[in-house]
Amino acid sequence: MGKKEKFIGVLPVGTVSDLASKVVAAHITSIFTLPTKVLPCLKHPSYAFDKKRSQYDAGAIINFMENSYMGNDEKIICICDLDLFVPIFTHVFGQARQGGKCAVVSIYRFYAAQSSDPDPGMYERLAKISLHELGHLFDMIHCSDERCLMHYSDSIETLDNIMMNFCRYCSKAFNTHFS
Amino acid sequence: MSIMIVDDEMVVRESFYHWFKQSGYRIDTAENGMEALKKMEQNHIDVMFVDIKMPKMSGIELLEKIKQEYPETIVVIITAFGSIETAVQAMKMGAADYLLKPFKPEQLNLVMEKIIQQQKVSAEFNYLKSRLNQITRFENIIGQSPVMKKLFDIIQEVAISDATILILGETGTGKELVAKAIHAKSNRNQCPFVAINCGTIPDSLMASELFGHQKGAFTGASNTRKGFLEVVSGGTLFLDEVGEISSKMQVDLLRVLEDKKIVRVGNSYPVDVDFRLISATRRNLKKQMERNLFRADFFYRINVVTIEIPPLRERKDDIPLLADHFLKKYSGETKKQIDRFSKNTMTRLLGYDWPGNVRELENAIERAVVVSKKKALSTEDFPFLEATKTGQTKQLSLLESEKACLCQALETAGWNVTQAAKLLDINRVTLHKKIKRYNLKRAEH
Ligand SMILES: [Zn+2]
Ligand SMILES: [Zn+2]
Repeated sequence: MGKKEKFIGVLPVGTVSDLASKVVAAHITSIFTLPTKVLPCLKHPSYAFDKKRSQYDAGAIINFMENSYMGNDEKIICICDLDLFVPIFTHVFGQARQGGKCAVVSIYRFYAAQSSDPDPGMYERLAKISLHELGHLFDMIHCSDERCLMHYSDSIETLDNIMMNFCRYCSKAFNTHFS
Repeated sequence: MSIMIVDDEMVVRESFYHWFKQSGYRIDTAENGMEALKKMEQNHIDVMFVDIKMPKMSGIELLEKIKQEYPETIVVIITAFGSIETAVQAMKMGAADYLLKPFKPEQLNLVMEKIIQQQKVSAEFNYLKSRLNQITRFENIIGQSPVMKKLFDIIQEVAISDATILILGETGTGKELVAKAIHAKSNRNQCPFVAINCGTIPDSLMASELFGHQKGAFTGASNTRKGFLEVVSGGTLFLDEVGEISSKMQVDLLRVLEDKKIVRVGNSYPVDVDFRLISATRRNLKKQMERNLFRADFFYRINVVTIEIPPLRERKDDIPLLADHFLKKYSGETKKQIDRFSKNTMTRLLGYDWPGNVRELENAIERAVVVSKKKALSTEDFPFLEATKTGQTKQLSLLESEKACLCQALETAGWNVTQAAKLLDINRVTLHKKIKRYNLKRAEH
């Protein structure tokens, strides 16, 4: 996969473990073979808090980033530990706009049920969602292959069923994006 | 699959938009019911997500309109907590499903899976339906009414014999199509099918058109030319409007039919010809015979078999089939995405008498497709239907006055077209066309 001087920025937002950002960056480097950089942490996004829903509006975070962040990065993945939503859905794991510059993902829903103990699978899920949303930023669309990273996962179960790579067709789509 | 989101809240439209975009769907949005309906006139929508609570036009009202105008569009209702009753009402009115906002991502996924399954089933159904349509076509003649099925049987039967055939039918009933079908089913189908409209060829040119001419035979004959009777060699000659042939030409043709030989104009050597003759007329030839306008010997020669094509008003069950066929034909030709008739339009088309028969129907639909800016043809695209409903429009009274004028001239001239044309100061061919267009007939005394 080809690349330019630009890199993918992994940007922690609010309180989130260093490990989360590092895992995401490592997976982007290995799967997309693109240079990545973990950026300094941004403060808690209180502007995105919705009082009625007690959740954080993923769209608001993306808008804020697109309007105010001036970095030189090709694409930016924001990592947070917040309960994200978009208006029509009860929750989302992550959000990106097709062909956009910024995506946001959260580890919030990946903890083991009924506990805030780290679940061994949580970083892997976060990495999958990050790669999926980054795929959208590179204009990739959902894939019907249930093992592919671009498969739309609406639950932890479907997400866990996904492998840590793109199917043949999606890899090809990604490569065409860079050629 | 094309999807439309109708919701007054921008954030809702946006979240739907991104989700569908990411799943590779064609997606459009509308802020309210009016905008949605306007967009639907231009583009076909498979699935529509409609918010139930919108200002001006409610989701229920929009659903009602959609189900009326675009019954195959699937509507999913989006509702907020606390309006379940309205959602239930919507389901009763034909909504496919409803989503309670906000919903889990998997719920939207599930709704879409159900719809895709449903679409697959209806696609298979439509395919089978189109197979059925092929069965209702015989060569290029469309019809499934009992009278037409009988006609198809007769065509099949008479095609293999070499008997001359006289096709009777009002203007626009498709006499030439029947002649072509007979030719196609006959042993002569590898040879040419030559159609001549006797009403449009001036009397003076008829002989050279049919028999050909030798160079210098008359002024203007700068080359030797084969006539249609030679060109047809081995095939089928179709003489449309055979009632228009002059008595002298009737004698000449009668001789050809008996001798199977012709002599080019300006020549004296006979040439062998071989063809099958099919004639057609919208006139009552027996009545013309009584008035000595048509020769009895010629009549019996060309009329070994008679085939009568029923007028469209006597096979109204075929109107929807024909209308759909012409709509497909012309929306395809004009690349317009018009694919249906609004509900009461078909009722009105069925109620009309179609004096110009299938051709009038075809012309009406062609015109409607050209002028329409919507996805469905409505009654306003057929002004003559409006006219019959609300009395006379200005345009129609103009046509009516021309019709009256033509009738008067024809009556004065005793239905001698050449003389009537002189009275009207138009040429004979034009008058013939007008007679055909208005379906003018001599009043039977
Ligand atoms: Zn996605
Ligand atoms: Zn894939």
